[in-house]
Amino acid sequence: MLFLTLLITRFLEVSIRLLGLGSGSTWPGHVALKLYPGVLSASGILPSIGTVLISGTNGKTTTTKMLCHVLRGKGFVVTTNASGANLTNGIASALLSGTSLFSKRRADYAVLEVDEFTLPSALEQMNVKGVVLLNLSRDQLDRYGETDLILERWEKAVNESEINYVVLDKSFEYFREMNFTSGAEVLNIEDIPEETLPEDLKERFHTKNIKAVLATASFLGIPFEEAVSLLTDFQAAYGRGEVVDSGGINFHLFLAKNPASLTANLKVFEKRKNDFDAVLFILNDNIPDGRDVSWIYDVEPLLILSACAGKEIYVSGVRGFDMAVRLDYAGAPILEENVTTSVPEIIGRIKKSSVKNIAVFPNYSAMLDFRKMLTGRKIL
Amino acid sequence: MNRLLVGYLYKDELNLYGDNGNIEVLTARCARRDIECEVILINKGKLSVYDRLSGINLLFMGGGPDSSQKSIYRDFLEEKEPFIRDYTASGKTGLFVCGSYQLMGDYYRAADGAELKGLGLFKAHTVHFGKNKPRCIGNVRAKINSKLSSDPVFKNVDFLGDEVLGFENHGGRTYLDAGAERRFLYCLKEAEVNEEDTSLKNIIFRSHRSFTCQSW
Repeated sequence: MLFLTLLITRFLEVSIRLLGLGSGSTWPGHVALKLYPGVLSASGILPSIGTVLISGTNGKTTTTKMLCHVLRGKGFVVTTNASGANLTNGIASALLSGTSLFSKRRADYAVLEVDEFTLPSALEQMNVKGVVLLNLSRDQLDRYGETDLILERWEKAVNESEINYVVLDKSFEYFREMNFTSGAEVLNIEDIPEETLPEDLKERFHTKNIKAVLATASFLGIPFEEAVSLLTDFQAAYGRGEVVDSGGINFHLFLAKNPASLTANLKVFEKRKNDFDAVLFILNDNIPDGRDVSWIYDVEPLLILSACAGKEIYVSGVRGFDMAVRLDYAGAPILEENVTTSVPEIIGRIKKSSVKNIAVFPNYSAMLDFRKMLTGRKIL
Repeated sequence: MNRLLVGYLYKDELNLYGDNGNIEVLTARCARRDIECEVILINKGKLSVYDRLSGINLLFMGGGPDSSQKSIYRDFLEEKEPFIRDYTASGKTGLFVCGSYQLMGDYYRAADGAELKGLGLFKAHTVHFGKNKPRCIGNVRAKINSKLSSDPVFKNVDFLGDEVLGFENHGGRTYLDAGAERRFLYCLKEAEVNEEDTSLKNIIFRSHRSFTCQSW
């Protein structure tokens, strides 16, 4: 059964890419799960050394990519879901794609980012070595319900699994209150002192993500110093601090999908504020974003004001006017001609201006659309 | 009156999805109209600054998940109830959103069946059916009922007939009980009101006879 599933999904994966229908990061897994519902438990697709799952509201994609970078730097073959397809179909796609047809060639490690809601069922089905729990804040309440329920489900899933370790951030009270009874070792990333992290990494990425990677690497037998040095040439994941050059303008993409990520990214931006002459906010309310945009008021107005001070401000996206009103209430000077719901139009206006370096704060679907418009390539 | 003193109840616990934004917008709008606006935070615990509280002319309380609502509940009844009763009886204005207007009604029954008795300031009760009913989620567009002009409370306001936009996102359903004034419903959700679901995310609670909008 596994062979047949592998054969069919390999065929699908190649066809999707050849026909330019996307990157093939969700459909093969979707079909595989229909054909062979137990595929995630199949030992034939699991990596030979172990699987690490990374979950949380913010930082999954960057942390996953960083850990892959460290492991690959050590010479391991690593399977991952780099496109951010983090539901079971994306996980199955990644694992199947990392396995040769007769399951002879497998990856050493699988490092997978997992959606907060999907984590319990992934833990239930897969043989996992460790779990990284980054954080949990309200994001898409319409989709997920309240965070308390998710925490309860996480705790239960970890306790019913046979994982060896849990890496988490005990600066959050809700993680301190979790009660792990399965004997898994618990590592608190806050035990890693801030000053041991290299400055240039701290400037470009969130220290919590770096710490989570270093803590996990130590569990995988990679010493702290070595992991740090492997991280020095790490490049940002798509849309997460990534720089896209288009028409002589540098667009720096800072994914801002909820209050916590917009806040964190405005703070990262503040540290390097002098590198930029403009900011662009793009807000959509498509299904993957959550339809509710009221969260934009959960970002401190003073932080918005100080980030925008002295910069040209552009606003776009389906709910661009809501964002413009929000920025206006925070006291940021908004010019009507710099606000339009049409993203191609706002790009045109920026290209006509004298802007050379612009920080872009898009939410999820806005980031995917915007990036595609600039690069002509699709991610998902 | 060029001064507005806002009392903000339970900022730390009841601030889910933009409740702070209500205060921020109010403060910014006051600044644009040269109205001096000050916000007093009323947190959990004894009311220690009762003198200043008597000067409040807008009382605000936001919403939160069941767990937050339960965490303030005892304090709400033991420490805040007399103040809120006095406040509303004196005819001042309040803006109660989501979980807080539920607590101003007769009772709130949470998804797990636990019942929180409210202050009964208006005749309504709210029930969260858990998984048995889907959440109410979506953009809301409504017209403020022009017929309200016949009500003396609204006679000097210029916003009747205006449209309001918002987003509702809640699991609980609010039902009006016998004797309830329907005025506030017409005020915000004219287009959507039906017998089955009379719930609202935002509600303007007018206590007695002095809706103070016109004097701001």
